[in-house]
Amino acid sequence: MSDSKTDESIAVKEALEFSAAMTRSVDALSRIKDDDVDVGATPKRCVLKQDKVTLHHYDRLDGVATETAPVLIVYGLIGRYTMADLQEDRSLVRNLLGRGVDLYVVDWGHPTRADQNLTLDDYVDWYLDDCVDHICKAAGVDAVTLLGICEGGVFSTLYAARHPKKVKNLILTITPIDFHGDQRDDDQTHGFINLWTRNLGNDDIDRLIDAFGNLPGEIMASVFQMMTPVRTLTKYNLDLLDAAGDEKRLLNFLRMEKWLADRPHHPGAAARQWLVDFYKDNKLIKGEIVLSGERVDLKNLKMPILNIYALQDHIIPPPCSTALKDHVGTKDYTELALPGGHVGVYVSGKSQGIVGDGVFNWLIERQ
Amino acid sequence: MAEKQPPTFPLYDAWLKAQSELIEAQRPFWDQMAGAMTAGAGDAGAATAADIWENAGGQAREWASRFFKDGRFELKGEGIAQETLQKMLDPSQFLYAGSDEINRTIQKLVEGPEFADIGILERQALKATQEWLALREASAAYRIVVANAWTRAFQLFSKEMADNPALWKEGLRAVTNRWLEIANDELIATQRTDDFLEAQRKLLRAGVDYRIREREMVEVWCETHSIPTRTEVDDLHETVYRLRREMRDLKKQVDALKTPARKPARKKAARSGEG
Repeated sequence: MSDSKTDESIAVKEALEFSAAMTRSVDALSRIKDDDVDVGATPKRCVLKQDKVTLHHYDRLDGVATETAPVLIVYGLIGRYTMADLQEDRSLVRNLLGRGVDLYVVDWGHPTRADQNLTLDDYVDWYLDDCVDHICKAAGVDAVTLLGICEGGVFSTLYAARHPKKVKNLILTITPIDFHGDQRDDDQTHGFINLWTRNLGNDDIDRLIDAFGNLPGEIMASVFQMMTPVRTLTKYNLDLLDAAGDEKRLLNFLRMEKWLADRPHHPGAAARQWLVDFYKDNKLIKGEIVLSGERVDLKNLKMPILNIYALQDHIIPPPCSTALKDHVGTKDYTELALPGGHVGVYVSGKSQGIVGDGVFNWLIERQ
Repeated sequence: MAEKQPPTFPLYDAWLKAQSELIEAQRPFWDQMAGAMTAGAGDAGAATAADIWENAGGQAREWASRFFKDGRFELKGEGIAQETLQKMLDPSQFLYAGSDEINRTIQKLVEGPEFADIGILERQALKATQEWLALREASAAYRIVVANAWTRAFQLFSKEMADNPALWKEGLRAVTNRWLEIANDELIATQRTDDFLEAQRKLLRAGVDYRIREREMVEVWCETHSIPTRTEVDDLHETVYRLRREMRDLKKQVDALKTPARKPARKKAARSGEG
């Protein structure tokens, strides 16, 4: 890449801009304290704690009356729930609280090797069930609305199918249902995680989990990074320098870095089920998933369902999510397709109003 | 270009020059890596590839060390901001882009922290095992597949730039963006090839085999010194887990027996309109 070929005036201008951006970046990054990079900061109270699992109830926003029955946000074991509340002006949590939703969230914590025997049966029929029972008792209701995110959407789906009387409405966001749906998506930047998992033998997965007890969070983080290979190369120089001129933008860049770095280990037994039964064998839509000794039938999903997916989702390709409509037992099924990618549903500026309004308006009609 | 910069920015001149030349500098590296495959199969090829990689990483570490040591620049900040700053100023980031992150992760996970005295003989012995050699070979084979993808991307980029020299007039940023698009497309296409998937599966398997072998050796040492082994601790975890489940089931049964007495109160609450 010879400098002599580049127009000199453009090159000099770029050089000066680059120098200025570098100065700003280094200065800003040197000044920022870790406490400044706050994620999941919306005030909430712990209302139930069991092992490493915590149920929180969000405080109502000042001057906002409660308009809905309880809604429980359920994230998965890959990543943290803080994605739904990454920053004050881009927060599904704040969007919903601001509209009067009575909101709870379950935090699965950071599993260690001591948790390696926990299964998806335990997460769905034990911890999640206890959270729902607690909310029902506290709010004096018989059922709650579940708002599942990604793997947490699968937990919510399983729970709703197994305990339909306790689920008033089911809201799913960026949730895989048909784990082989990526094969119907022509975009080759989509669905690498599906391909990566199918490429592993069951014995590879067994030995991986035997070796570490859990599915290490670092492995999943690496697989996610592989899906956007060149971004690893560019985000710390080109993207970061672009953000450095604006402290707010830089803090948001760092919030995302903090969220990405907070990648808990996935309990081993549950990871085995997740990778083999769901990703490889696609048992959910085949009706072959067994939890607590009973088969899970998606036709039990007779409650109203809102299914939100992202059109450019490279982690959960859209066909993986939209497959749900062919398997449920309700006619009250709504889809909301959003522009953007997987986490864009929560953090992009464009999606803030769409998701907040979309969820609230749908919900308020079903109270 | 550097001599045209204002003299007040010597550090940034150097950095900018390094950035603009970094991409060009990667080409011989990837060519060498790809060439390792033909230099010799098996252990020899793996050793050559590992040496090339280690040299590049070593150069970056030496550069970074001089960069921070000479007093011109101090690594300040804390937490995630400091980590980000370090990555921004690390010229070896390119080694891990394009899929090598997982390789680095596996190596870090399987080797873990090394303490001065604990199990030092076992760790030395591990480096002589079949599992260690297999891991080294799988890592090199994987990097060669990735190196080939980078080499193909450079070839495509060179051809496009030769066919369209006007792109240079749009500035370095435009050229860099085009290069990155080409590299990204080639890397993503490579990830879907059988060669890549096979190499990655072998790498993961080799990492896991090494880790399990390490545990076996360490457990022998632990037993010799009357220290609980990982396997014994895992057994304890399983026992506690089963007891927790039993306790939970019993509590549920007790709650269910109590439920009829509480039922009217719950119904009353639900009718109160709180929901």
